[in-house]
Amino acid sequence: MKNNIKVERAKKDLTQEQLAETLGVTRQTINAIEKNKYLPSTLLALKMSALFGVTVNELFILEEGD
Amino acid sequence: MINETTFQVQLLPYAYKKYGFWILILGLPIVAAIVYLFKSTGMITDSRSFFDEWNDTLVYYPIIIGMALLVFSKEKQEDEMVQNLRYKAFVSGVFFLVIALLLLPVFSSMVALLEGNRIEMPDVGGMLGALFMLLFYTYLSFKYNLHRTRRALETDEE
Repeated sequence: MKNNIKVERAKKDLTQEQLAETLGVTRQTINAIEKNKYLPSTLLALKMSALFGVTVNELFILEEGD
Repeated sequence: MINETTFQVQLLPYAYKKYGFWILILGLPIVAAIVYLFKSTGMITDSRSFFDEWNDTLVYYPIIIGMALLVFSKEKQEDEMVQNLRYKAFVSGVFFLVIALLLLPVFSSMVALLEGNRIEMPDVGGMLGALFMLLFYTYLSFKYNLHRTRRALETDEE
């Protein structure tokens, strides 16, 4: 699975720290999600989707084999 | 439905880790002092059960209470990724405990056979010993993986 969080974050001109603070998680968690090292919960994915104004499907994209 | 049937364990605040450390450090000397007091008043006649028997309940209690406080307290920065690592540490802890408890008698019997001794069921420390192994492994495994994850992500910072 890949994601567009880094792109959406850049569009909103947010740092990882600012995004983490808004979502109530640590900066390491945001970093881990962006690098596909951690898959967020549905709740966190929905919060991101609402914050960026895009659907969850636009944020997280399934790849072949997922 | 899951929330209705599953007992929800709330983790203790981060400050309880400190109490866990203190109980681990001070627990054994305090228990030793209590046993000495009991012995001097004649309530205990033979203190070897404390000093020689590692599986004595008195010895295990402060260790297990201290370890439990460490394991069931939140981290300074607790979020869903940390909880995920904690869950994985518990699952692998239970798995390795099952394997260890099943294999220990086999290993012990093999050693006894090789040494030409009679095969006897080994003492694995009873319930408290098994609980200690579980808590000890879970805590170390969780802290190691948390440290490794955070370190890897620190170097990747963007």
